Amino acid sequence: MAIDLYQGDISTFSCDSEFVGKDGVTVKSTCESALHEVLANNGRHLAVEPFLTARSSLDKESIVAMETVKNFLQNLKHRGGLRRVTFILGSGEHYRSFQDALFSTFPEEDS
Amino acid sequence: MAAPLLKDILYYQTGGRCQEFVEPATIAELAAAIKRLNAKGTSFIPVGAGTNSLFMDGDYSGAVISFRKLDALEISGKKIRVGAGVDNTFFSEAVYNAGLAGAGWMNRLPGQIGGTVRMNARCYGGEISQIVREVTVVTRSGDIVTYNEPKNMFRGYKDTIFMTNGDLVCEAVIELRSGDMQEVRSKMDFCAKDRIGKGQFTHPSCGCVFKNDYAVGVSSGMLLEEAKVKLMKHAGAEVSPAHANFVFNKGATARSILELSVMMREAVWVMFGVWLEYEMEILGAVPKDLELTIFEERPASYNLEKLTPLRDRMKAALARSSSGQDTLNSV
Repeated sequence: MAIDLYQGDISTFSCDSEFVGKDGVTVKSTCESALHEVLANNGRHLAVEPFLTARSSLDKESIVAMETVKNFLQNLKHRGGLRRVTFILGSGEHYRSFQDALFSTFPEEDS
Repeated sequence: MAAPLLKDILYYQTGGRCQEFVEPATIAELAAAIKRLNAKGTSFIPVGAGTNSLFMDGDYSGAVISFRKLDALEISGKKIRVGAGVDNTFFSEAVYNAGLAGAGWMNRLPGQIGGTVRMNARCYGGEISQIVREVTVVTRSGDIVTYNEPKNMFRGYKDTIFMTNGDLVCEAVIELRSGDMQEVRSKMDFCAKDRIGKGQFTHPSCGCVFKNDYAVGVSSGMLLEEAKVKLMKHAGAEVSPAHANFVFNKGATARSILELSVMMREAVWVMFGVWLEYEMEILGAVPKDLELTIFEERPASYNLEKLTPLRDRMKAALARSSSGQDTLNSV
Protein backbone atom coordinates (compact mmCIF):
# COMPACT_ATOMS: atom_id res chain seq x y z
CA MET A 1 0.00 0.00 0.00
CA ALA A 2 1.56 3.25 -1.11
CA ILE A 3 0.76 6.91 -0.63
CA ASP A 4 2.00 8.96 -3.56
CA LEU A 5 2.04 12.42 -5.07
CA TYR A 6 1.53 13.71 -8.58
CA GLN A 7 1.90 17.24 -9.81
CA GLY A 8 -0.55 17.97 -12.57
CA ASP A 9 -4.16 17.75 -13.63
CA ILE A 10 -6.41 15.02 -12.27
CA SER A 11 -8.17 14.72 -15.62
CA THR A 12 -4.98 13.40 -17.21
CA PHE A 13 -4.09 11.09 -14.33
CA SER A 14 -4.71 7.39 -14.68
CA CYS A 15 -6.47 5.65 -11.76
CA ASP A 16 -9.74 3.83 -11.12
CA SER A 17 -11.22 6.23 -8.53
CA GLU A 18 -10.88 9.97 -8.31
CA PHE A 19 -12.15 12.53 -5.89
CA VAL A 20 -11.94 16.30 -6.18
CA GLY A 21 -12.23 18.46 -3.08
CA LYS A 22 -14.62 21.38 -3.05
CA ASP A 23 -14.31 24.91 -1.76
CA GLY A 24 -15.63 25.16 1.78
CA VAL A 25 -14.89 21.52 2.57
CA THR A 26 -11.90 20.82 4.78
CA VAL A 27 -8.94 18.75 3.61
CA LYS A 28 -9.68 16.23 6.37
CA SER A 29 -13.26 15.80 5.26
CA THR A 30 -12.25 15.57 1.59
CA CYS A 31 -9.76 12.80 2.34
CA GLU A 32 -12.21 10.87 4.49
CA SER A 33 -15.00 11.12 1.92
CA ALA A 34 -12.64 10.00 -0.84
CA LEU A 35 -11.50 6.99 1.19
CA HIS A 36 -15.07 6.00 2.10
CA GLU A 37 -16.02 6.17 -1.54
CA VAL A 38 -13.08 4.17 -2.88
CA LEU A 39 -13.65 1.45 -0.29
CA ALA A 40 -17.36 1.30 -1.10
CA ASN A 41 -16.50 0.87 -4.78
CA ASN A 42 -13.65 -1.56 -4.07
CA GLY A 43 -11.24 0.62 -6.06
CA ARG A 44 -7.53 -0.14 -6.26
CA HIS A 45 -6.07 3.28 -6.94
CA LEU A 46 -7.55 6.47 -5.53
CA ALA A 47 -6.53 9.92 -6.74
CA VAL A 48 -7.47 12.82 -4.46
CA GLU A 49 -7.23 16.44 -5.48
CA PRO A 50 -7.68 18.37 -2.23
CA PHE A 51 -9.01 21.90 -2.41
CA LEU A 52 -6.34 23.96 -0.68
CA THR A 53 -7.22 27.37 0.61
CA ALA A 54 -5.34 30.10 2.36
CA ARG A 55 -7.45 29.58 5.48
CA SER A 56 -4.74 27.46 6.97
CA SER A 57 -1.06 27.26 6.04
CA LEU A 58 -0.18 24.91 3.23
CA ASP A 59 2.26 22.98 5.40
CA LYS A 60 -0.42 22.45 8.02
CA GLU A 61 -2.97 21.29 5.46
CA SER A 62 -0.53 18.83 3.90
CA ILE A 63 0.19 17.30 7.31
CA VAL A 64 -3.56 17.08 8.00
CA ALA A 65 -4.06 15.31 4.66
CA MET A 66 -1.35 12.73 5.36
CA GLU A 67 -2.40 12.14 8.95
CA THR A 68 -6.03 11.73 7.88
CA VAL A 69 -5.15 9.06 5.33
CA LYS A 70 -2.83 7.33 7.77
CA ASN A 71 -5.37 7.27 10.63
CA PHE A 72 -8.23 6.25 8.39
CA LEU A 73 -6.33 3.33 6.89
CA GLN A 74 -4.94 2.20 10.22
CA ASN A 75 -8.39 1.97 11.72
CA LEU A 76 -9.64 -0.39 9.06
CA LYS A 77 -9.59 -4.13 9.44
CA HIS A 78 -10.06 -4.69 5.72
CA ARG A 79 -9.14 -2.28 3.01
CA GLY A 80 -10.47 -4.32 0.09
CA GLY A 81 -8.41 -4.04 -3.05
CA LEU A 82 -7.07 -0.56 -2.33
CA ARG A 83 -3.37 -0.45 -3.19
CA ARG A 84 -2.55 3.19 -3.70
CA VAL A 85 -3.63 6.69 -2.77
CA THR A 86 -2.21 9.52 -4.86
CA PHE A 87 -2.57 13.19 -4.00
CA ILE A 88 -2.88 15.35 -7.10
CA LEU A 89 -1.25 18.73 -6.59
CA GLY A 90 -1.58 21.69 -8.86
CA SER A 91 1.73 23.46 -8.27
CA GLY A 92 5.33 22.83 -7.35
CA GLU A 93 4.82 24.61 -4.05
CA HIS A 94 1.94 22.31 -3.12
CA TYR A 95 3.90 19.28 -4.27
CA ARG A 96 6.92 20.14 -2.13
CA SER A 97 4.80 20.78 0.91
CA PHE A 98 3.00 17.46 0.52
CA GLN A 99 6.30 15.70 -0.09
CA ASP A 100 7.69 17.00 3.20
CA ALA A 101 4.50 15.86 4.94
CA LEU A 102 4.65 12.47 3.23
CA PHE A 103 8.23 11.84 4.29
CA SER A 104 7.62 12.86 7.87
CA THR A 105 4.35 10.95 8.22
CA PHE A 106 5.60 7.82 6.48
CA PRO A 107 9.35 7.76 7.14
CA GLU A 108 11.55 5.35 5.22
CA GLU A 109 14.96 4.55 6.59
CA ASP A 110 17.23 1.98 5.04
CA SER A 111 15.98 -0.03 2.09
CA MET B 1 35.26 -15.04 -24.46
CA ALA B 2 32.83 -17.05 -22.31
CA ALA B 3 30.21 -15.11 -20.42
CA PRO B 4 31.02 -14.79 -16.72
CA LEU B 5 29.09 -16.62 -14.05
CA LEU B 6 26.42 -14.22 -12.89
CA LYS B 7 26.92 -15.22 -9.27
CA ASP B 8 30.50 -13.92 -9.60
CA ILE B 9 29.47 -10.44 -10.66
CA LEU B 10 26.10 -9.83 -9.00
CA TYR B 11 25.96 -8.48 -5.46
CA TYR B 12 23.58 -11.19 -4.22
CA GLN B 13 25.82 -13.91 -5.70
CA THR B 14 23.20 -16.00 -7.44
CA GLY B 15 22.63 -17.00 -11.05
CA GLY B 16 24.39 -19.22 -13.54
CA ARG B 17 25.93 -18.49 -16.91
CA CYS B 18 24.18 -16.49 -19.60
CA GLN B 19 24.47 -17.06 -23.31
CA GLU B 20 25.96 -13.63 -23.89
CA PHE B 21 27.22 -10.87 -21.65
CA VAL B 22 26.96 -7.34 -23.05
CA GLU B 23 28.90 -4.45 -21.53
CA PRO B 24 28.36 -1.30 -23.59
CA ALA B 25 30.60 1.70 -22.90
CA THR B 26 28.29 4.23 -24.53
CA ILE B 27 24.55 4.68 -24.93
CA ALA B 28 24.92 4.30 -28.71
CA GLU B 29 26.69 0.96 -28.19
CA LEU B 30 23.86 -0.20 -25.95
CA ALA B 31 21.23 0.82 -28.51
CA ALA B 32 23.12 -1.04 -31.24
CA ALA B 33 23.49 -4.13 -29.02
CA ILE B 34 19.75 -4.22 -28.33
CA LYS B 35 18.93 -3.91 -32.02
CA ARG B 36 21.34 -6.75 -32.75
CA LEU B 37 19.85 -8.97 -30.02
CA ASN B 38 16.32 -8.24 -31.24
CA ALA B 39 17.30 -9.09 -34.80
CA LYS B 40 18.67 -12.45 -33.61
CA GLY B 41 15.60 -13.06 -31.47
CA THR B 42 17.74 -13.23 -28.31
CA SER B 43 15.99 -12.26 -25.08
CA PHE B 44 17.89 -10.07 -22.66
CA ILE B 45 17.85 -8.96 -19.04
CA PRO B 46 19.49 -5.72 -17.87
CA VAL B 47 21.29 -5.88 -14.53
CA GLY B 48 22.80 -3.16 -12.41
CA ALA B 49 24.90 -4.11 -9.41
CA GLY B 50 22.29 -6.68 -8.45
CA THR B 51 21.71 -5.10 -5.05
CA ASN B 52 17.93 -5.17 -5.20
CA SER B 53 17.36 -8.28 -7.25
CA LEU B 54 17.63 -12.03 -7.20
CA PHE B 55 18.81 -13.75 -10.36
CA MET B 56 17.39 -17.24 -10.54
CA ASP B 57 19.57 -20.34 -10.63
CA GLY B 58 20.72 -22.21 -13.69
CA ASP B 59 21.96 -20.93 -17.02
CA TYR B 60 20.03 -18.20 -18.77
CA SER B 61 19.55 -18.75 -22.48
CA GLY B 62 19.58 -15.05 -23.33
CA ALA B 63 21.88 -12.06 -22.95
CA VAL B 64 22.61 -10.15 -19.77
CA ILE B 65 23.31 -6.45 -20.18
CA SER B 66 25.61 -4.78 -17.67
CA PHE B 67 25.82 -1.03 -17.17
CA ARG B 68 29.11 -0.97 -15.28
CA LYS B 69 31.01 0.67 -18.15
CA LEU B 70 28.48 3.49 -18.41
CA ASP B 71 30.35 5.24 -15.65
CA ALA B 72 30.76 8.85 -16.77
CA LEU B 73 30.19 11.59 -14.23
CA GLU B 74 30.30 15.18 -15.37
CA ILE B 75 29.62 18.05 -12.98
CA SER B 76 28.64 21.38 -14.47
CA GLY B 77 27.59 23.92 -11.86
CA LYS B 78 24.72 22.33 -9.93
CA LYS B 79 23.87 19.84 -12.64
CA ILE B 80 25.49 16.44 -12.92
CA ARG B 81 25.26 14.13 -15.90
CA VAL B 82 25.83 10.66 -14.52
CA GLY B 83 25.97 7.24 -16.17
CA ALA B 84 23.76 4.36 -15.03
CA GLY B 85 26.78 2.35 -13.91
CA VAL B 86 28.08 4.87 -11.37
CA ASP B 87 27.99 3.57 -7.82
CA ASN B 88 25.65 5.48 -5.51
CA THR B 89 28.26 5.99 -2.81
CA PHE B 90 30.84 7.17 -5.35
CA PHE B 91 28.26 9.65 -6.63
CA SER B 92 27.37 10.87 -3.16
CA GLU B 93 31.06 11.44 -2.32
CA ALA B 94 31.82 13.10 -5.67
CA VAL B 95 29.06 15.65 -5.36
CA TYR B 96 29.92 16.26 -1.72
CA ASN B 97 33.50 16.99 -2.78
CA ALA B 98 32.11 19.40 -5.36
CA GLY B 99 30.30 21.28 -2.58
CA LEU B 100 26.79 20.18 -3.58
CA ALA B 101 24.00 19.19 -1.21
CA GLY B 102 20.99 16.92 -1.76
CA ALA B 103 22.55 13.50 -2.24
CA GLY B 104 23.87 12.75 1.26
CA TRP B 105 21.15 10.14 1.77
CA MET B 106 22.67 8.08 -1.07
CA ASN B 107 25.87 7.40 0.86
CA ARG B 108 26.33 3.62 1.30
CA LEU B 109 23.06 2.97 -0.55
CA PRO B 110 24.05 -0.24 -2.35
CA GLY B 111 23.68 -0.13 -6.10
CA GLN B 112 24.20 2.04 -9.13
CA ILE B 113 22.49 5.19 -10.35
CA GLY B 114 20.61 3.35 -13.10
CA GLY B 115 18.88 0.99 -10.68
CA THR B 116 18.31 3.77 -8.16
CA VAL B 117 16.49 5.83 -10.79
CA ARG B 118 14.67 2.84 -12.24
CA MET B 119 13.07 1.95 -8.91
CA ASN B 120 12.80 5.50 -7.53
CA ALA B 121 14.81 4.58 -4.45
CA ARG B 122 13.80 6.24 -1.21
CA CYS B 123 15.62 6.13 2.12
CA TYR B 124 16.69 8.34 5.01
CA GLY B 125 14.43 11.22 3.97
CA GLY B 126 15.60 11.34 0.37
CA GLU B 127 14.12 10.09 -2.86
CA ILE B 128 15.84 10.08 -6.24
CA SER B 129 12.80 11.65 -7.94
CA GLN B 130 13.46 14.82 -5.92
CA ILE B 131 16.75 15.49 -7.71
CA VAL B 132 16.48 13.88 -11.15
CA ARG B 133 15.71 16.31 -13.95
CA GLU B 134 16.26 14.18 -17.03
CA VAL B 135 16.70 10.49 -17.84
CA THR B 136 18.00 8.95 -21.03
CA VAL B 137 16.90 5.42 -21.79
CA VAL B 138 17.24 2.84 -24.51
CA THR B 139 13.89 1.26 -25.29
CA ARG B 140 13.37 -2.48 -25.75
CA SER B 141 13.47 -1.85 -29.48
CA GLY B 142 16.82 -0.07 -29.29
CA ASP B 143 15.76 3.57 -29.63
CA ILE B 144 17.36 6.27 -27.51
CA VAL B 145 14.79 8.43 -25.74
CA THR B 146 15.22 11.27 -23.25
CA TYR B 147 12.58 12.04 -20.64
CA ASN B 148 12.73 15.48 -19.09
CA GLU B 149 9.50 15.63 -17.08
CA PRO B 150 10.02 13.83 -13.75
CA LYS B 151 6.27 13.44 -13.23
CA ASN B 152 6.13 11.37 -16.41
CA MET B 153 8.74 8.94 -15.06
CA PHE B 154 8.23 8.64 -11.32
CA ARG B 155 4.88 7.12 -10.42
CA GLY B 156 5.34 7.08 -6.67
CA TYR B 157 6.73 5.00 -3.87
CA LYS B 158 9.50 2.82 -5.35
CA ASP B 159 7.67 2.85 -8.64
CA THR B 160 8.50 4.28 -12.08
CA ILE B 161 7.33 3.77 -15.63
CA PHE B 162 10.64 2.02 -16.38
CA MET B 163 9.63 -0.88 -14.13
CA THR B 164 6.82 -1.75 -16.52
CA ASN B 165 7.76 -0.37 -19.93
CA GLY B 166 11.13 -2.10 -19.92
CA ASP B 167 13.17 0.94 -20.94
CA LEU B 168 16.81 0.62 -19.89
CA VAL B 169 17.94 3.63 -17.84
CA CYS B 170 21.36 4.70 -19.17
CA GLU B 171 22.02 8.16 -17.88
CA ALA B 172 20.46 10.79 -15.65
CA VAL B 173 20.85 14.51 -15.19
CA ILE B 174 20.64 15.34 -11.50
CA GLU B 175 20.31 18.83 -10.08
CA LEU B 176 21.63 19.57 -6.61
CA ARG B 177 21.97 22.75 -4.59
CA SER B 178 24.41 24.53 -2.38
CA GLY B 179 24.00 23.88 1.30
CA ASP B 180 25.66 23.42 4.64
CA MET B 181 28.34 20.88 3.81
CA GLN B 182 28.89 19.99 7.45
CA GLU B 183 25.25 18.96 7.61
CA VAL B 184 25.66 16.94 4.43
CA ARG B 185 28.68 15.16 5.92
CA SER B 186 26.71 14.41 9.08
CA LYS B 187 23.92 12.93 7.00
CA MET B 188 26.37 10.80 5.00
CA ASP B 189 28.02 9.58 8.18
CA PHE B 190 24.66 8.83 9.75
CA CYS B 191 23.55 6.71 6.77
CA ALA B 192 26.84 4.80 6.71
CA LYS B 193 26.82 4.21 10.47
CA ASP B 194 23.21 3.08 10.48
CA ARG B 195 23.69 0.60 7.66
CA ILE B 196 26.95 -0.74 9.08
CA GLY B 197 25.41 -0.92 12.56
CA LYS B 198 22.62 -3.05 11.17
CA GLY B 199 25.18 -5.43 9.71
CA GLN B 200 23.97 -4.83 6.18
CA PHE B 201 27.32 -5.45 4.55
CA THR B 202 28.42 -8.57 6.41
CA HIS B 203 27.01 -10.97 3.80
CA PRO B 204 25.51 -10.62 0.31
CA SER B 205 21.88 -9.49 0.37
CA CYS B 206 19.40 -7.61 -1.79
CA GLY B 207 18.56 -5.06 0.87
CA CYS B 208 15.00 -5.15 2.10
CA VAL B 209 13.14 -8.11 0.67
CA PHE B 210 9.73 -6.49 1.22
CA LYS B 211 8.43 -2.96 0.79
CA ASN B 212 6.83 -1.09 3.63
CA ASP B 213 3.04 -0.94 3.58
CA TYR B 214 2.05 2.60 4.51
CA ALA B 215 -1.43 1.62 5.63
CA VAL B 216 -0.03 -0.69 8.27
CA GLY B 217 1.80 1.98 10.23
CA VAL B 218 4.61 -0.36 11.18
CA SER B 219 7.69 -1.06 9.06
CA SER B 220 7.90 -4.43 7.37
CA GLY B 221 11.13 -5.02 9.26
CA MET B 222 9.34 -4.63 12.59
CA LEU B 223 6.49 -6.92 11.50
CA LEU B 224 8.99 -9.56 10.44
CA GLU B 225 10.91 -9.23 13.67
CA GLU B 226 7.76 -9.61 15.75
CA ALA B 227 6.82 -12.63 13.64
CA LYS B 228 10.11 -14.19 14.84
CA VAL B 229 11.63 -14.64 11.42
CA LYS B 230 15.06 -13.67 12.70
CA LEU B 231 15.60 -17.26 13.70
CA MET B 232 14.86 -18.55 10.23
CA LYS B 233 17.48 -20.28 8.10
CA HIS B 234 16.93 -22.32 5.00
CA ALA B 235 19.58 -24.09 2.94
CA GLY B 236 22.23 -21.37 3.10
CA ALA B 237 19.75 -18.49 3.20
CA GLU B 238 19.51 -16.74 6.53
CA VAL B 239 17.53 -13.81 7.88
CA SER B 240 19.93 -11.14 9.15
CA PRO B 241 20.16 -11.22 12.95
CA ALA B 242 20.19 -7.41 12.96
CA HIS B 243 17.46 -6.61 10.41
CA ALA B 244 14.58 -8.99 9.85
CA ASN B 245 13.83 -7.67 6.35
CA PHE B 246 17.27 -8.71 5.06
CA VAL B 247 18.07 -12.22 3.84
CA PHE B 248 21.74 -13.07 3.65
CA ASN B 249 23.15 -15.41 1.07
CA LYS B 250 25.49 -17.70 2.98
CA GLY B 251 25.94 -20.26 0.23
CA ALA B 252 22.29 -20.41 -0.83
CA THR B 253 20.68 -20.93 -4.19
CA ALA B 254 18.21 -18.38 -5.50
CA ARG B 255 15.50 -20.96 -4.98
CA SER B 256 16.26 -21.37 -1.29
CA ILE B 257 16.31 -17.58 -0.82
CA LEU B 258 12.88 -17.40 -2.47
CA GLU B 259 11.58 -20.24 -0.35
CA LEU B 260 12.78 -18.52 2.81
CA SER B 261 11.12 -15.27 1.73
CA VAL B 262 7.84 -17.14 1.27
CA MET B 263 8.09 -18.47 4.84
CA MET B 264 8.80 -14.95 6.13
CA ARG B 265 5.79 -13.49 4.32
CA GLU B 266 3.56 -16.26 5.59
CA ALA B 267 4.71 -15.71 9.18
CA VAL B 268 3.68 -12.05 8.98
CA TRP B 269 0.37 -12.98 7.38
CA VAL B 270 -0.47 -15.47 10.10
CA MET B 271 0.38 -13.10 12.93
CA PHE B 272 -0.82 -9.73 11.58
CA GLY B 273 -3.00 -10.32 8.52
CA VAL B 274 -0.60 -8.19 6.48
CA TRP B 275 0.42 -9.45 3.05
CA LEU B 276 3.87 -8.07 2.29
CA GLU B 277 4.79 -6.92 -1.19
CA TYR B 278 8.17 -7.86 -2.62
CA GLU B 279 10.70 -5.11 -3.10
CA MET B 280 13.32 -7.60 -4.29
CA GLU B 281 13.05 -8.04 -8.05
CA ILE B 282 13.18 -11.57 -9.33
CA LEU B 283 15.12 -11.96 -12.57
CA GLY B 284 15.01 -15.02 -14.79
CA ALA B 285 12.43 -17.76 -14.61
CA VAL B 286 10.78 -18.51 -11.27
CA PRO B 287 10.49 -22.30 -10.83
CA LYS B 288 7.01 -23.39 -11.94
CA ASP B 289 6.17 -24.91 -8.57
CA LEU B 290 6.86 -21.58 -6.81
CA GLU B 291 5.17 -19.27 -9.30
CA LEU B 292 1.68 -19.26 -7.78
CA THR B 293 3.03 -18.71 -4.29
CA ILE B 294 5.41 -15.91 -5.22
CA PHE B 295 2.91 -13.92 -7.25
CA GLU B 296 -0.08 -14.52 -4.99
CA GLU B 297 -1.94 -11.47 -3.67
CA ARG B 298 -4.06 -11.49 -0.53
CA PRO B 299 -6.23 -8.56 0.61
CA ALA B 300 -5.19 -7.24 4.01
CA SER B 301 -7.09 -8.56 7.01
CA TYR B 302 -5.45 -6.74 9.88
CA ASN B 303 -5.14 -8.23 13.32
CA LEU B 304 -5.60 -4.88 15.05
CA GLU B 305 -5.10 -6.35 18.50
CA LYS B 306 -1.55 -7.28 17.55
CA LEU B 307 -0.85 -4.29 15.32
CA THR B 308 -1.94 -1.52 17.66
CA PRO B 309 0.79 -1.96 20.30
CA LEU B 310 3.39 -2.12 17.53
CA ARG B 311 2.07 1.11 16.03
CA ASP B 312 2.39 2.79 19.40
CA ARG B 313 5.96 1.55 19.74
CA MET B 314 6.77 2.74 16.23
CA LYS B 315 5.30 6.18 16.95
CA ALA B 316 7.30 6.48 20.15
CA ALA B 317 10.50 5.42 18.40
CA LEU B 318 9.92 7.97 15.65
CA ALA B 319 9.17 10.69 18.15
CA ARG B 320 12.42 9.90 19.97
CA SER B 321 14.50 10.07 16.80
CA SER B 322 12.64 12.89 15.07
CA SER B 323 14.62 15.77 16.52
CA GLY B 324 17.89 14.44 15.15
CA GLN B 325 16.45 13.03 11.97
CA ASP B 326 14.25 15.87 10.81
CA THR B 327 17.12 18.26 10.51
CA LEU B 328 18.95 15.76 8.33
CA ASN B 329 16.10 15.05 5.93
CA SER B 330 16.83 15.64 2.25
CA VAL B 331 20.41 16.72 2.87
